[in-house]
Amino acid sequence: MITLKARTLISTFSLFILVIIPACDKPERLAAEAASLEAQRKLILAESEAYDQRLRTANPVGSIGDTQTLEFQKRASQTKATEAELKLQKWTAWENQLKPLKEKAADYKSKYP
Amino acid sequence: MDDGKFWPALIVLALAVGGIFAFRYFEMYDKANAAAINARSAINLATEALNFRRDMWGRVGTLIQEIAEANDRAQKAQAEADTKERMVSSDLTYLSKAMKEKVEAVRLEATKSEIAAVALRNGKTLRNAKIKKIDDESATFLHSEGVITVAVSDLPSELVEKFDLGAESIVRQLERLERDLGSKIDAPVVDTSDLLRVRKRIAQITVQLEHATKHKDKLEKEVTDYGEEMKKAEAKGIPTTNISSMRDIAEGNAGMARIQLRQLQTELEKLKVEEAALSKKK
Repeated sequence: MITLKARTLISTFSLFILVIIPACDKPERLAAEAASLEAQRKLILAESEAYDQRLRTANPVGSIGDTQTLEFQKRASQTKATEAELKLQKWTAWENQLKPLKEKAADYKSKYP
Repeated sequence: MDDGKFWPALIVLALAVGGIFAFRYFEMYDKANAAAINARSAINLATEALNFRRDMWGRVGTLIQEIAEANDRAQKAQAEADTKERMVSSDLTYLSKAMKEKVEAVRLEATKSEIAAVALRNGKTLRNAKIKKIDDESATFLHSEGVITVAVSDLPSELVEKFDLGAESIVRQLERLERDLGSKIDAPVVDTSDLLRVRKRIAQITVQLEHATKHKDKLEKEVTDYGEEMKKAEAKGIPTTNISSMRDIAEGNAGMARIQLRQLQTELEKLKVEEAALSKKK
Protein backbone atom coordinates (compact mmCIF):
# COMPACT_ATOMS: atom_id res chain seq x y z
CA MET A 1 0.00 0.00 0.00
CA ILE A 2 1.54 3.36 -1.11
CA THR A 3 1.27 6.06 1.51
CA LEU A 4 0.04 9.62 0.87
CA LYS A 5 3.63 10.92 1.32
CA ALA A 6 4.92 8.51 -1.32
CA ARG A 7 2.18 9.49 -3.77
CA THR A 8 3.01 13.19 -3.24
CA LEU A 9 6.70 12.58 -3.87
CA ILE A 10 6.11 10.48 -6.97
CA SER A 11 3.75 13.17 -8.27
CA THR A 12 6.35 15.91 -7.60
CA PHE A 13 9.08 13.94 -9.28
CA SER A 14 6.84 13.19 -12.28
CA LEU A 15 5.97 16.86 -12.48
CA PHE A 16 9.68 17.74 -12.70
CA ILE A 17 10.17 15.25 -15.48
CA LEU A 18 7.01 16.26 -17.34
CA VAL A 19 7.56 20.02 -17.13
CA ILE A 20 11.32 20.50 -17.25
CA ILE A 21 12.28 17.95 -19.88
CA PRO A 22 9.85 19.26 -22.53
CA ALA A 23 10.79 22.80 -21.54
CA CYS A 24 14.45 21.93 -22.25
CA ASP A 25 13.35 21.66 -25.83
CA LYS A 26 12.98 25.45 -26.00
CA PRO A 27 16.72 26.24 -26.14
CA GLU A 28 17.05 23.69 -28.91
CA ARG A 29 14.31 25.40 -30.84
CA LEU A 30 16.02 28.74 -30.25
CA ALA A 31 19.34 27.32 -31.45
CA ALA A 32 17.62 25.92 -34.54
CA GLU A 33 16.07 29.31 -35.17
CA ALA A 34 19.50 30.95 -34.81
CA ALA A 35 20.96 28.47 -37.30
CA SER A 36 18.14 29.10 -39.72
CA LEU A 37 18.62 32.87 -39.35
CA GLU A 38 22.35 32.44 -39.95
CA ALA A 39 21.64 30.50 -43.16
CA GLN A 40 19.21 33.21 -44.17
CA ARG A 41 21.86 35.87 -43.41
CA LYS A 42 24.37 34.06 -45.63
CA LEU A 43 21.87 34.10 -48.49
CA ILE A 44 21.26 37.83 -47.94
CA LEU A 45 25.01 38.48 -47.87
CA ALA A 46 25.45 36.54 -51.11
CA GLU A 47 22.70 38.59 -52.75
CA SER A 48 24.25 41.74 -51.34
CA GLU A 49 27.64 40.72 -52.79
CA ALA A 50 26.00 40.14 -56.18
CA TYR A 51 24.61 43.70 -56.05
CA ASP A 52 28.09 44.93 -55.03
CA GLN A 53 29.56 43.28 -58.11
CA ARG A 54 26.94 44.84 -60.36
CA LEU A 55 27.46 48.25 -58.76
CA ARG A 56 31.25 47.97 -59.10
CA THR A 57 30.90 46.98 -62.76
CA ALA A 58 28.49 49.82 -63.46
CA ASN A 59 30.51 52.39 -61.54
CA PRO A 60 34.16 51.30 -61.47
CA VAL A 61 35.43 54.74 -60.45
CA GLY A 62 33.11 55.64 -57.58
CA SER A 63 32.72 53.69 -54.37
CA ILE A 64 29.52 51.82 -53.55
CA GLY A 65 26.91 54.26 -52.35
CA ASP A 66 28.45 57.06 -54.36
CA THR A 67 26.59 57.94 -57.56
CA GLN A 68 28.37 61.26 -58.09
CA THR A 69 30.60 59.90 -60.85
CA LEU A 70 27.58 58.59 -62.70
CA GLU A 71 25.70 61.87 -62.10
CA PHE A 72 28.61 63.76 -63.66
CA GLN A 73 28.76 61.27 -66.50
CA LYS A 74 25.03 61.76 -67.04
CA ARG A 75 25.39 65.54 -67.09
CA ALA A 76 28.36 65.30 -69.46
CA SER A 77 26.37 63.04 -71.79
CA GLN A 78 23.35 65.33 -71.62
CA THR A 79 25.55 68.37 -72.37
CA LYS A 80 27.08 66.49 -75.30
CA ALA A 81 23.60 65.58 -76.56
CA THR A 82 22.44 69.21 -76.22
CA GLU A 83 25.52 70.42 -78.10
CA ALA A 84 24.92 67.92 -80.88
CA GLU A 85 21.25 68.92 -81.04
CA LEU A 86 22.21 72.60 -81.21
CA LYS A 87 24.63 71.80 -84.01
CA LEU A 88 21.87 69.94 -85.81
CA GLN A 89 19.50 72.89 -85.33
CA LYS A 90 22.15 75.23 -86.72
CA TRP A 91 22.70 73.13 -89.83
CA THR A 92 18.95 72.66 -90.28
CA ALA A 93 18.63 76.45 -90.23
CA TRP A 94 21.39 76.75 -92.86
CA GLU A 95 19.67 74.08 -94.92
CA ASN A 96 16.39 75.99 -94.69
CA GLN A 97 18.13 79.16 -95.84
CA LEU A 98 19.75 77.36 -98.76
CA LYS A 99 16.59 75.57 -99.89
CA PRO A 100 14.76 78.64 -101.43
CA LEU A 101 18.03 79.71 -103.09
CA LYS A 102 18.37 76.28 -104.66
CA GLU A 103 14.82 76.57 -105.99
CA LYS A 104 15.50 80.08 -107.33
CA ALA A 105 18.72 78.88 -109.02
CA ALA A 106 16.86 75.93 -110.58
CA ASP A 107 14.14 78.30 -111.86
CA TYR A 108 16.78 80.66 -113.27
CA LYS A 109 18.56 77.82 -115.05
CA SER A 110 15.33 76.54 -116.57
CA LYS A 111 14.27 80.07 -117.59
CA TYR A 112 17.64 80.99 -119.14
CA PRO A 113 19.00 77.67 -120.38
CA MET B 1 15.29 -0.08 4.27
CA ASP B 2 12.06 1.19 5.99
CA ASP B 3 9.80 3.98 4.64
CA GLY B 4 11.22 6.61 7.02
CA LYS B 5 14.73 6.33 5.54
CA PHE B 6 13.87 5.62 1.87
CA TRP B 7 11.61 8.62 1.20
CA PRO B 8 13.92 11.49 2.36
CA ALA B 9 16.70 10.04 0.17
CA LEU B 10 14.29 9.88 -2.76
CA ILE B 11 13.21 13.49 -2.13
CA VAL B 12 16.84 14.66 -2.09
CA LEU B 13 17.53 12.71 -5.30
CA ALA B 14 14.43 14.13 -7.00
CA LEU B 15 15.39 17.71 -6.01
CA ALA B 16 18.99 17.16 -7.16
CA VAL B 17 17.87 15.77 -10.53
CA GLY B 18 15.32 18.60 -10.85
CA GLY B 19 17.97 21.16 -9.90
CA ILE B 20 20.44 19.81 -12.47
CA PHE B 21 17.75 19.86 -15.13
CA ALA B 22 16.77 23.40 -14.16
CA PHE B 23 20.40 24.61 -14.19
CA ARG B 24 21.08 22.96 -17.54
CA TYR B 25 17.86 24.36 -18.88
CA PHE B 26 18.64 27.94 -17.88
CA GLU B 27 22.22 27.69 -19.14
CA MET B 28 21.12 26.35 -22.52
CA TYR B 29 18.29 28.86 -22.70
CA ASP B 30 20.66 31.78 -22.07
CA LYS B 31 23.11 30.61 -24.73
CA ALA B 32 20.42 29.90 -27.30
CA ASN B 33 18.67 33.16 -26.53
CA ALA B 34 21.91 35.15 -26.97
CA ALA B 35 22.63 33.31 -30.24
CA ALA B 36 19.11 33.99 -31.51
CA ILE B 37 19.31 37.67 -30.57
CA ASN B 38 22.69 38.01 -32.28
CA ALA B 39 21.41 36.20 -35.35
CA ARG B 40 18.34 38.47 -35.50
CA SER B 41 20.51 41.55 -35.11
CA ALA B 42 22.95 40.30 -37.77
CA ILE B 43 20.11 39.50 -40.15
CA ASN B 44 18.64 42.96 -39.62
CA LEU B 45 21.99 44.55 -40.46
CA ALA B 46 22.42 42.31 -43.51
CA THR B 47 18.86 43.08 -44.67
CA GLU B 48 19.49 46.79 -44.23
CA ALA B 49 22.72 46.52 -46.24
CA LEU B 50 20.91 44.53 -48.93
CA ASN B 51 18.08 47.07 -49.10
CA PHE B 52 20.64 49.86 -49.37
CA ARG B 53 22.34 48.06 -52.26
CA ARG B 54 18.99 47.33 -53.96
CA ASP B 55 18.09 50.99 -53.64
CA MET B 56 21.54 51.97 -54.97
CA TRP B 57 21.18 49.57 -57.86
CA GLY B 58 17.80 51.11 -58.65
CA ARG B 59 19.35 54.58 -58.73
CA VAL B 60 22.45 53.43 -60.60
CA GLY B 61 20.27 51.52 -63.08
CA THR B 62 18.22 54.67 -63.74
CA LEU B 63 21.40 56.72 -64.15
CA ILE B 64 22.93 54.18 -66.54
CA GLN B 65 19.74 54.21 -68.59
CA GLU B 66 19.72 58.01 -68.65
CA ILE B 67 23.40 58.07 -69.70
CA ALA B 68 22.72 55.55 -72.47
CA GLU B 69 19.73 57.59 -73.67
CA ALA B 70 21.76 60.82 -73.65
CA ASN B 71 24.63 59.13 -75.51
CA ASP B 72 22.19 57.73 -78.03
CA ARG B 73 20.63 61.18 -78.51
CA ALA B 74 24.07 62.75 -78.89
CA GLN B 75 25.19 60.13 -81.38
CA LYS B 76 22.07 60.43 -83.54
CA ALA B 77 22.06 64.24 -83.48
CA GLN B 78 25.81 64.36 -84.21
CA ALA B 79 25.51 61.97 -87.15
CA GLU B 80 22.56 63.90 -88.58
CA ALA B 81 24.30 67.24 -88.03
CA ASP B 82 27.47 65.95 -89.75
CA THR B 83 25.44 64.76 -92.74
CA LYS B 84 23.65 68.10 -92.99
CA GLU B 85 26.95 69.98 -92.61
CA ARG B 86 28.52 68.05 -95.48
CA MET B 87 25.40 68.42 -97.65
CA VAL B 88 24.88 72.13 -97.02
CA SER B 89 28.57 73.00 -97.43
CA SER B 90 28.99 71.10 -100.68
CA ASP B 91 25.61 72.21 -102.07
CA LEU B 92 26.37 75.83 -101.29
CA THR B 93 29.86 75.73 -102.80
CA TYR B 94 28.62 73.99 -105.93
CA LEU B 95 25.51 76.15 -106.29
CA SER B 96 27.41 79.41 -105.81
CA LYS B 97 30.03 78.49 -108.43
CA ALA B 98 27.49 77.11 -110.92
CA MET B 99 25.20 80.12 -110.51
CA LYS B 100 28.05 82.60 -111.05
CA GLU B 101 29.08 80.79 -114.23
CA LYS B 102 25.51 80.66 -115.45
CA VAL B 103 24.88 84.39 -114.82
CA GLU B 104 28.17 85.26 -116.50
CA ALA B 105 27.15 83.19 -119.52
CA VAL B 106 23.71 84.86 -119.68
CA ARG B 107 25.29 88.31 -119.39
CA LEU B 108 27.89 87.48 -122.07
CA GLU B 109 25.20 86.16 -124.40
CA ALA B 110 23.19 89.37 -123.91
CA THR B 111 26.06 91.55 -125.15
CA LYS B 112 25.89 89.75 -128.49
CA SER B 113 22.34 90.80 -129.33
CA GLU B 114 20.40 94.03 -129.73
CA ILE B 115 17.17 94.90 -127.93
CA ALA B 116 14.63 96.95 -129.91
CA ALA B 117 13.37 98.94 -126.93
CA VAL B 118 14.32 99.02 -123.25
CA ALA B 119 11.71 100.81 -121.11
CA LEU B 120 13.54 102.17 -118.06
CA ARG B 121 11.77 102.73 -114.75
CA ASN B 122 12.47 106.44 -114.89
CA GLY B 123 10.22 106.63 -118.00
CA LYS B 124 12.99 106.82 -120.57
CA THR B 125 13.10 104.30 -123.43
CA LEU B 126 16.30 103.15 -125.05
CA ARG B 127 15.94 102.29 -128.74
CA ASN B 128 18.10 99.71 -130.55
CA ALA B 129 20.01 99.12 -127.35
CA LYS B 130 23.03 96.93 -127.22
CA ILE B 131 24.47 95.96 -123.89
CA LYS B 132 28.15 96.85 -123.58
CA LYS B 133 28.85 96.03 -119.99
CA ILE B 134 26.99 94.58 -117.04
CA ASP B 135 28.13 94.65 -113.44
CA ASP B 136 26.25 94.00 -110.20
CA GLU B 137 25.10 97.63 -109.76
CA SER B 138 24.55 98.87 -113.33
CA ALA B 139 24.34 98.11 -117.04
CA THR B 140 25.91 100.18 -119.86
CA PHE B 141 23.95 100.40 -123.10
CA LEU B 142 24.90 101.63 -126.52
CA HIS B 143 21.61 102.90 -128.01
CA SER B 144 20.30 105.15 -130.79
CA GLU B 145 21.07 108.29 -128.79
CA GLY B 146 24.49 107.32 -127.49
CA VAL B 147 25.88 105.48 -124.50
CA ILE B 148 24.20 105.32 -121.11
CA THR B 149 24.96 103.61 -117.82
CA VAL B 150 21.76 102.71 -116.06
CA ALA B 151 21.64 101.91 -112.34
CA VAL B 152 19.97 98.69 -111.33
CA SER B 153 17.12 100.66 -109.73
CA ASP B 154 16.18 102.10 -113.14
CA LEU B 155 16.45 98.89 -115.10
CA PRO B 156 13.25 96.99 -116.00
CA SER B 157 12.56 94.06 -113.68
CA GLU B 158 12.89 91.43 -116.43
CA LEU B 159 16.51 92.58 -117.10
CA VAL B 160 17.28 92.73 -113.36
CA GLU B 161 16.04 89.18 -113.07
CA LYS B 162 17.74 87.98 -116.27
CA PHE B 163 21.17 89.42 -115.38
CA ASP B 164 20.73 88.58 -111.69
CA LEU B 165 21.43 92.12 -110.56
CA GLY B 166 21.02 94.05 -107.30
CA ALA B 167 21.47 93.29 -103.64
CA GLU B 168 18.86 90.54 -103.68
CA SER B 169 20.31 88.68 -106.66
CA ILE B 170 20.66 84.93 -106.29
CA VAL B 171 24.48 85.09 -106.58
CA ARG B 172 24.71 87.80 -103.90
CA GLN B 173 22.40 85.87 -101.57
CA LEU B 174 24.52 82.77 -102.07
CA GLU B 175 27.71 84.79 -101.40
CA ARG B 176 26.19 86.22 -98.21
CA LEU B 177 25.21 82.77 -97.08
CA GLU B 178 28.74 81.46 -97.80
CA ARG B 179 30.24 84.38 -95.87
CA ASP B 180 27.89 83.91 -92.91
CA LEU B 181 28.51 80.19 -92.89
CA GLY B 182 32.27 80.72 -93.03
CA SER B 183 32.22 83.09 -90.06
CA LYS B 184 29.84 81.04 -87.94
CA ILE B 185 30.91 77.56 -88.86
CA ASP B 186 33.75 77.44 -86.36
CA ALA B 187 31.93 79.37 -83.63
CA PRO B 188 31.63 77.19 -80.54
CA VAL B 189 28.12 76.06 -79.83
CA VAL B 190 28.58 76.30 -76.09
CA ASP B 191 29.67 79.47 -74.39
CA THR B 192 32.95 78.83 -72.54
CA SER B 193 33.01 82.04 -70.59
CA ASP B 194 34.02 82.30 -66.95
CA LEU B 195 30.37 82.63 -66.00
CA LEU B 196 29.56 79.32 -67.60
CA ARG B 197 32.55 77.68 -65.90
CA VAL B 198 31.34 79.01 -62.51
CA ARG B 199 27.78 77.86 -63.21
CA LYS B 200 29.00 74.39 -64.17
CA ARG B 201 30.98 74.19 -60.93
CA ILE B 202 27.91 75.36 -58.96
CA ALA B 203 25.89 72.57 -60.57
CA GLN B 204 28.58 70.05 -59.63
CA ILE B 205 28.79 71.30 -56.03
CA THR B 206 24.99 71.21 -55.75
CA VAL B 207 24.96 67.54 -56.73
CA GLN B 208 27.86 66.83 -54.34
CA LEU B 209 26.00 68.65 -51.55
CA GLU B 210 22.88 66.61 -52.14
CA HIS B 211 24.88 63.39 -51.86
CA ALA B 212 26.92 64.59 -48.89
CA THR B 213 23.71 65.52 -47.02
CA LYS B 214 22.17 62.11 -47.67
CA HIS B 215 25.41 60.41 -46.64
CA LYS B 216 25.62 62.43 -43.40
CA ASP B 217 21.94 61.72 -42.57
CA LYS B 218 22.51 58.03 -43.18
CA LEU B 219 25.55 57.94 -40.89
CA GLU B 220 23.75 59.90 -38.17
CA LYS B 221 20.84 57.46 -38.41
CA GLU B 222 23.32 54.59 -38.05
CA VAL B 223 24.68 56.18 -34.85
CA THR B 224 21.14 56.49 -33.44
CA ASP B 225 20.29 52.91 -34.44
CA TYR B 226 23.44 51.55 -32.78
CA GLY B 227 22.56 53.55 -29.64
CA GLU B 228 19.11 51.98 -29.51
CA GLU B 229 20.55 48.55 -30.19
CA MET B 230 23.00 49.04 -27.31
CA LYS B 231 20.17 50.01 -24.94
CA LYS B 232 18.20 46.91 -25.92
CA ALA B 233 21.26 44.67 -25.49
CA GLU B 234 22.04 46.21 -22.10
CA ALA B 235 18.45 45.59 -20.99
CA LYS B 236 18.81 41.92 -21.98
CA GLY B 237 22.25 41.66 -20.38
CA ILE B 238 24.03 40.92 -23.68
CA PRO B 239 27.62 42.22 -24.13
CA THR B 240 27.62 45.52 -26.05
CA THR B 241 31.35 45.87 -26.91
CA ASN B 242 30.89 45.14 -30.63
CA ILE B 243 27.90 47.43 -31.03
CA SER B 244 29.71 50.15 -29.10
CA SER B 245 32.76 49.91 -31.41
CA MET B 246 30.52 50.03 -34.47
CA ARG B 247 28.70 53.05 -33.07
CA ASP B 248 32.04 54.80 -32.47
CA ILE B 249 33.11 54.15 -36.08
CA ALA B 250 29.77 55.42 -37.38
CA GLU B 251 30.07 58.50 -35.13
CA GLY B 252 33.56 59.20 -36.53
CA ASN B 253 32.31 58.80 -40.11
CA ALA B 254 29.33 61.07 -39.40
CA GLY B 255 31.73 63.71 -38.06
CA MET B 256 33.82 63.51 -41.24
CA ALA B 257 30.65 63.76 -43.35
CA ARG B 258 29.58 66.90 -41.41
CA ILE B 259 33.00 68.51 -42.06
CA GLN B 260 32.81 67.65 -45.77
CA LEU B 261 29.29 69.09 -45.95
CA ARG B 262 30.42 72.36 -44.34
CA GLN B 263 33.36 72.61 -46.80
CA LEU B 264 31.02 72.12 -49.76
CA GLN B 265 28.57 74.70 -48.39
CA THR B 266 31.40 77.24 -48.02
CA GLU B 267 32.63 76.56 -51.57
CA LEU B 268 29.09 76.92 -52.91
CA GLU B 269 28.69 80.29 -51.16
CA LYS B 270 32.00 81.50 -52.66
CA LEU B 271 30.95 80.36 -56.15
CA LYS B 272 27.59 82.10 -55.82
CA VAL B 273 29.36 85.36 -54.95
CA GLU B 274 31.67 84.87 -57.96
CA GLU B 275 28.67 84.15 -60.19
CA ALA B 276 26.89 87.32 -59.02
CA ALA B 277 30.04 89.39 -59.72
CA LEU B 278 30.45 87.86 -63.21
CA SER B 279 26.75 88.39 -63.99
CA LYS B 280 27.06 92.09 -63.11
CA LYS B 281 30.19 92.43 -65.26
CA LYS B 282 28.35 90.82 -68.17
